[in-house]
Amino acid sequence: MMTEILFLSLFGLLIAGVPVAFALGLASVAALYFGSNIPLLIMPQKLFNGLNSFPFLAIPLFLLAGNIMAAAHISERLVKLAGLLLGRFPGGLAQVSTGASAFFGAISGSAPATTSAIGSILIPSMVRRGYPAPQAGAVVASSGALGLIIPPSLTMVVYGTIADVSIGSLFIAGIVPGVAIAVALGLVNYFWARRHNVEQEPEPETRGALKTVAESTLALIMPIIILGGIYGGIFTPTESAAVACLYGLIVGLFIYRSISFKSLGPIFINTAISSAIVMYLMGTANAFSFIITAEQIPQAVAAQILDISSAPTLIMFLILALLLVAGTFLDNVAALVLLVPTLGALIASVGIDPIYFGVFTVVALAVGNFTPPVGLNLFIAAGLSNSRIEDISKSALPYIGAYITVLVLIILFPSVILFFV
Amino acid sequence: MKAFDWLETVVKGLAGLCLFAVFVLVTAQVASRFLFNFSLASASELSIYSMIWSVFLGAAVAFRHNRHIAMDVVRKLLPRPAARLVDVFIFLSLTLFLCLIMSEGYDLSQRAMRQVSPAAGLPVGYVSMAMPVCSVLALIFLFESFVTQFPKARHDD
Repeated sequence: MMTEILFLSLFGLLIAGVPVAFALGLASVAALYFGSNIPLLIMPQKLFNGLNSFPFLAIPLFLLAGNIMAAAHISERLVKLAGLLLGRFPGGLAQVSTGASAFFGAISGSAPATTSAIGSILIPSMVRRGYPAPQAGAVVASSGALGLIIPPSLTMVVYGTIADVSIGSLFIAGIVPGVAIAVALGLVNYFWARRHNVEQEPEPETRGALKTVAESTLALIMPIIILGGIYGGIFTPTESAAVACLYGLIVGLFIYRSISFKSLGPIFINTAISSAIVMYLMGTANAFSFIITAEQIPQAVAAQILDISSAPTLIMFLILALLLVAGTFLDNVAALVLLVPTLGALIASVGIDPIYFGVFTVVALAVGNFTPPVGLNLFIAAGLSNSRIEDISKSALPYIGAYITVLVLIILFPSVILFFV
Repeated sequence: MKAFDWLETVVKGLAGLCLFAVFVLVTAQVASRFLFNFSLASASELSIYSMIWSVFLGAAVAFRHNRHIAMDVVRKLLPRPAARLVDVFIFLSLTLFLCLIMSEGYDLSQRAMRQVSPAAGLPVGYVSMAMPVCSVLALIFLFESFVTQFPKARHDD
């Protein structure tokens, strides 16, 4: 009874367009009120307990670090560095977009932040160079999703807290797929450029190259601090996020001098609001998952799927389809809070590693960031390139193919992901 | 509306300040461990508490600009009168939830006043009080955005 009320009301509220955080909360309240004798005091209690955790602090702090680095105009330096390294290849500016997004992804944990940081610089340059605007938008929108795959990653923190696995291990395990996707996107760029005979970029000037490298090295030290610190057991992910903020502030305020003390206020305020949106959702999701756990829904789902097959590979393909669909219609964090607890029992019963599964889930859901109707990267890229969502989505198809290819490889060769963990 | 602008500035300023406190407290904790080989347990507790206040304050402000993540695909397909009906439904649903968090959260905080946090010795009620207080703020912002935007039939242009 409780289960039916929970899911029917959640579905109705989501379809009507009630914000996800509150749809989860209201569906839980409805299930508790009509389906059980549990007092409603449990709702604020679960909401509170859902936020009362130290690992969670990594979410606002990584968002803060990304916003500080964006305000410090670090993206311009990374674009220059990527230009130096990748500009000479066919489809030079597209390659630079993918490369710079990968670098930026190693600093920022968010896909939209990566898309706007890189896109605002490179989409205009690509359009000026004669790239069709939708193509320029598609390159940036699909590369922007690397922000969630290359550590640090907001969605990995969310997965880690829901599934109760080490966020540090998830970050380390994200490196190989992150690089694989960057390479796959680069190949798509390459073939596109060959087919459309895109003009070769002029040789990069060697003068100033040293300065570019020196300046961007300062930016790229940040991921070394984060990953090295976590891998070496020096910091927890939360602590590494705070250190990353501190580093970003020092670089921005005193070395690049691109941040003024005055602009710090808006950085903290905007980060507070955007992380509040994510965190409130995590809080109400805690109430929701309390009910689905109490009702043993994960076990029921696991039994259903195990009826079809118990071969891990086949199950992974089924889950891939589910995640791609969920990522298309739901925000990434919402999809994680709905699906991870539900699939947990299934994963455990067929012996799939939760770290491996986490990276796979994060990558599969990341595709939803640049597919209609809810992909935020698409909206940002459409705005920056003055083109329609439909046109960008069409140009993005080969890039979606690149992601799916890598996902299939992850299913077929699971041990590669866990190599460094 | 001047009064609402002023309120928003104060609330989001406080949210930003709480986030700043989170950053300072976590950094201080790392520093004290490295420099003095001494772990500040109360700093880690206080950083979580500042984050909780920051979350509820920030979530309240987000109501004023319709920033909470929603799936509006179906709503956009609806004819205008139906879409407006859905808007009223969303408004009522949100109001219901916030009122519930306000009253139940207040009860919870009253009980939690007697419960003291292990490291910092702070009554937990002061932290969970963020829920009722910010639900009131959220209701104010939600109400204002509904009253000002509904006549203009939001999203329809």
